Amino acid sequence: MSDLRAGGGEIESSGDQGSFESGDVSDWLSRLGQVEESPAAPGKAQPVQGDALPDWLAAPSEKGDPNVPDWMEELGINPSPPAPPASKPSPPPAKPSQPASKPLQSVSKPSQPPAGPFQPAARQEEEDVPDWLRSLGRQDAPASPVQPSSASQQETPDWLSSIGAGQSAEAFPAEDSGSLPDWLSNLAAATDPGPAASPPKQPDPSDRAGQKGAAFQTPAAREPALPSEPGVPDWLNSFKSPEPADAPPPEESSSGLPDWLSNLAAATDSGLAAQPAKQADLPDWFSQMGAASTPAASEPAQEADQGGLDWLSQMGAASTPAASEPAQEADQGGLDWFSQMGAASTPAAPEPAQEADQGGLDWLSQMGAASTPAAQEPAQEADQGGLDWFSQLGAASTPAAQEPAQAADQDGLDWLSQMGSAPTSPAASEPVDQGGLDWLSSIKSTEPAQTPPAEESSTGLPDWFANLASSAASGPAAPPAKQADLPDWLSQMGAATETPATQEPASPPAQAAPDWLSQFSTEPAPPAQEQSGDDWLSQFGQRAFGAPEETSPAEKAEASPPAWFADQDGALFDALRAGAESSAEEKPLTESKPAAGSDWLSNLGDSSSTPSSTPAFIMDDESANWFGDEQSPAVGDTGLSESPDWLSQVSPDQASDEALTEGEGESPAEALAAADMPSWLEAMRPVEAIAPDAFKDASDTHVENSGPLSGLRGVLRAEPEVGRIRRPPPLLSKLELSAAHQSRVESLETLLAAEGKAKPVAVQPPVRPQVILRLLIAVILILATLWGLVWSGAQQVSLPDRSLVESEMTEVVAVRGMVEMVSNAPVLVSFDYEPALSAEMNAIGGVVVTHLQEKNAFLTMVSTSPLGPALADQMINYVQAQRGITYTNVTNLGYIPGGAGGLLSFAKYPHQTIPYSIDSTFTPISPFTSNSDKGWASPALRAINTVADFALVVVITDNADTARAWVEQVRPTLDADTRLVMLVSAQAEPFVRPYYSESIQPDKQQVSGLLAGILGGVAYQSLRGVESAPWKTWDALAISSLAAALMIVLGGVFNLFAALFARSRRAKNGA
Amino acid sequence: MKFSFSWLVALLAGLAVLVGYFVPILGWLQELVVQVAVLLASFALLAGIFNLLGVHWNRVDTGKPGSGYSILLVFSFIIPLITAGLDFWFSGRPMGYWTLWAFRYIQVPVEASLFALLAVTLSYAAARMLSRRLDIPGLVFFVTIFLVLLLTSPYISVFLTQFGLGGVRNLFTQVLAAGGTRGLLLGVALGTIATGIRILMGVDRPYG
Repeated sequence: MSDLRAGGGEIESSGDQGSFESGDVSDWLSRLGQVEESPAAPGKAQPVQGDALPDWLAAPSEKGDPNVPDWMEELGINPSPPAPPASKPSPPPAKPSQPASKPLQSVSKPSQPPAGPFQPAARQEEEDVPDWLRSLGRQDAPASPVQPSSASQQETPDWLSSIGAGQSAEAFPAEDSGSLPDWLSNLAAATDPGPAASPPKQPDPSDRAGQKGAAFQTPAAREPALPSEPGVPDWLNSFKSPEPADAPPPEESSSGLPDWLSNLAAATDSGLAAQPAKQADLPDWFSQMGAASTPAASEPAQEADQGGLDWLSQMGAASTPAASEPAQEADQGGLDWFSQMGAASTPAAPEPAQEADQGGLDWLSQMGAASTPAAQEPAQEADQGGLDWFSQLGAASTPAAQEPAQAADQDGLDWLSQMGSAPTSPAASEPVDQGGLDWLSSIKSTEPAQTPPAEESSTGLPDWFANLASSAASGPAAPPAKQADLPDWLSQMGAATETPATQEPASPPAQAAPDWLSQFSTEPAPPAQEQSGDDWLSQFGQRAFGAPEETSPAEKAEASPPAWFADQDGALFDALRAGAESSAEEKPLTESKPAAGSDWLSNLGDSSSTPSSTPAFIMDDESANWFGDEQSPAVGDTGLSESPDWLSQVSPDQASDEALTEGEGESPAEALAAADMPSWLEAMRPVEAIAPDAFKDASDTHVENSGPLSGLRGVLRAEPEVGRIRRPPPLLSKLELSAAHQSRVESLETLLAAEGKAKPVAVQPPVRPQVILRLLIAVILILATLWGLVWSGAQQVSLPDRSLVESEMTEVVAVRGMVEMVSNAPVLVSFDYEPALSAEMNAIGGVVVTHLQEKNAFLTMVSTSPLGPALADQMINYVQAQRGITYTNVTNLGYIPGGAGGLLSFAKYPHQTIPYSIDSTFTPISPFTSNSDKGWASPALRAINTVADFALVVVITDNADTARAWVEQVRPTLDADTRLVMLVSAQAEPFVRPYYSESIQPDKQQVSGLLAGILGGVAYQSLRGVESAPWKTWDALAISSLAAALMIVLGGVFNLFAALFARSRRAKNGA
Repeated sequence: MKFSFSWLVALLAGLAVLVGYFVPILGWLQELVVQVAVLLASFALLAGIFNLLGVHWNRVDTGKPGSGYSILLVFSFIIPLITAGLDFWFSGRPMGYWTLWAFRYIQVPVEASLFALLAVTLSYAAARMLSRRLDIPGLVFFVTIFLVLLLTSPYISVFLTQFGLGGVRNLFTQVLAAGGTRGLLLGVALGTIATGIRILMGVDRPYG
């Protein structure tokens, strides 16, 4: 309810109410409608006294307001505004300053003067909107300036009226609220004070709902109140677009739709210039939906009064060319928006004269039409005021063509009656006044009903219900005119049951129930079976008002409360029936007048008013068609069924005519007597009560003899074994182990024992063969060297022949020639070798240094190694020792730091690089000797400025890199007269020899002479032909080198065969 | 390329030396840079000596494992200093009798002995080579060692020379070995050029 209020707060109130006949409403609803009639609300219908109210409704009247139930009073809802007059003679003009959207007023504002438009009398007949919807629409519907209201007001329950009356008791005439349930009327009244009687009320900023309503307020809503459609709640009418003030009153806007639905419809039509009908205040979003696919000009004759809910109608029209509906006059007050949803899949062109007055909720009726070609419903004029959507649901299973003259005015709650009529017959296509709920009729209309063009199906069911039924029962044959407005989901529902109906057009299925229920049935209902799944609705009418023997218009007008309602209290329905009868007297119901919003109740009586005179209310057949053949009859026979009766009785046989006939013959009192025990309660009875011996165990003869269960048989004994005293079984003291376990234990013990033991390490032999071989090689080499140096007396190995050296060793010859030319000249000798190779280098350099001394060359000794100066002195001393003289033309300049850079520096700037010699640097300091003639101060070196000033450069080195550095850094600084001679070790020979080439001119050679190794020294000695001491080194070299070669060969061969043997052994082991 | 001061110094020094080769007028610049380099190298040698002494002195001071060898090194450093001092004091030369004595009877025999072990080790390795690597390259290497060593021996060379086969040794030592060495030297030369360019460009910064 709060939601409804909130929603209503967003919508303008409107006095546009669909007019409807009070006779279409059940008494109890009619009485409810009287409650909310405001004094200012005119209407033709006289309020119905509350004598027909059920007790639960009548009880509040005794206290204060007879129309207000206790629960509503407890809620603070005051549904007792001043009773509106039956009609309002002079409707107040539209309030220009009335805000289109008013904030939602408190529900507890009953004193709000009713104000608002009045409906024209022509519309009052079509107010089919339920009261609850109508009252909702009243909140927001714009007040129509001229809306003479004559609609009956009894159709609105008090609880709705109390809501609407709270605010707009004056704004809404009696006929406005008459077709709406009271709770809706009150809701509208509570939220809308009414534009006519109440001053313009500013929206309450604190009212959130009101603000929201203002937000949704359309410009049209601010215009003078538009004539609201009957049966449409104001809040639905508020959706309508503003109607021009000078616009003629809509002629056919008599739908019983709530205003909010009507406004929705009008909103979608607002942009249509050629559409004379009033324009609803649809929201833009919805109006655009309809306008998107529906050209306005293409609907010249469409006069559907789509109050409030036209937006749904236009949804259906999205796929429906409006031009193809020339005479469609479906009065779809309020909720026909839903009907147009159904029209989405319906070609509307073949519906020339559809005038279904679907007051209020006929939007649902058109849902059923979604699966029904509208062309097959030429002139359906179902006046479905208010809730006729439900009536169309009943029509879903009823071929409409078979009841051409059915004109039950089932405003309001006729959807329920159509549910009952669904199985009844093919007469669903009669012009049914389905006030508001004709959407149910449209469901019915999906059946292959051969509806006459002018058929008016005023089944009173809501449209959605009718359509639902019609969709279930109709086939592709000619359904009534109102078929096409069901939405897909309802259409599919109808289509589900459509097939059997199509196959048996003459025997419409009795399953007018919704598809979800009808699908339970595996067999179609018998042809003549008139009680369908909605029999409970029909029976409701029968129980409340007595089952009519024959269908008559007056009987159709009797609103039948639901069975659940009827079961509550028979007296209640008696009172309701009385009210209905009085309403019928006031207004002939033979006419296809749409009942007001509560006609869904009045149509309950119509559910039995089928041409076949089938009693509408049969207690035992309530749910026969709801579940079809799903339930097995055997279950019911045995009485063991755990399902309630309403389920257990679902069987085809129970849906037979016989049962129906029996139901007809019963009086309401009898029917009530048969239902003393509710089925659900009966289903709870113990099984033993039905089959006391079914679960007894014959073998169990024990009878309990103690305790509270004493004397009972079959009781589970509590202590069959517990009480016994037994000796405990002896425990085995010995563990039995199998052989496998024993083996595993032994394995574990072995592992544990081995864990503490040290693993034996393989003992290596103290002297391995490799060590022996290594030692053997060392011993052999040592012995060979010693033998050559020590123990050999004479020269063991002869020196190379001079001729051979001259022919084979030209580099040696070159060295000798250059040394011969340096007599008394400064010679630069570099000692760049390591002490480790001093033996070899002394053998090579000694012969050259000796030759130089013999030439009396001034030896200037340098070194790029820190140990070079010491080696130089050692060399000089060695030569002196060899010669036995002291050679003084020697100066040791010492170490040249800087590597290659130092060589470059020394080559260009020797004085700067080594300013002091070892011998002369500290002479002044030395107290013992005077070395003033040493170093750069010596006479031989005074003319030396660069390395090029030396006569010869001799490099004694064992390092190839050092030799390369001399070649690269010093040789370029030398001139043609200065030569570079290399005395290198044997290991450096390969790297130095490339710099020597005998084919190149000596002045251009990088290395002018080369002596390599001991062989070079021996060759130089041999070349000179000078007698000297025997070359012990030569002998030692000869012997040791030969021994090494032999050892390498022998050792290699030995290891080769050892390796081959090992491979073959591994190969054998591997194989 | 990240700019750094060290790279700038290296670039300028390299360019100065290089220009000195091609532009004789700028030889003074080359001389200056080379002299500075020699001076720095001398100090670098001293710095290295004292650094080595400090490290081993620290090891001796802290008593770390292997400090005995450090004691021996320090002692070896001190002994030449003492002898040089004595030589300078008595003969006016830092390299006198005592220094040459120590050099001749201590340093030269030690280094010669170590080098002699190399002969034994190489001989043993050559003998074991076939058991470790019995393949074609191993066999080629083994045969080459044997032939060179055999032909170097004066006995064999003299013998072969007498029979006109003296050129066999020269074939190995002057043709095959010299050919391979020339290739290596060319590679070294190209590598040196490339390295110099890279250092000048700052791509390689061995100076850190």
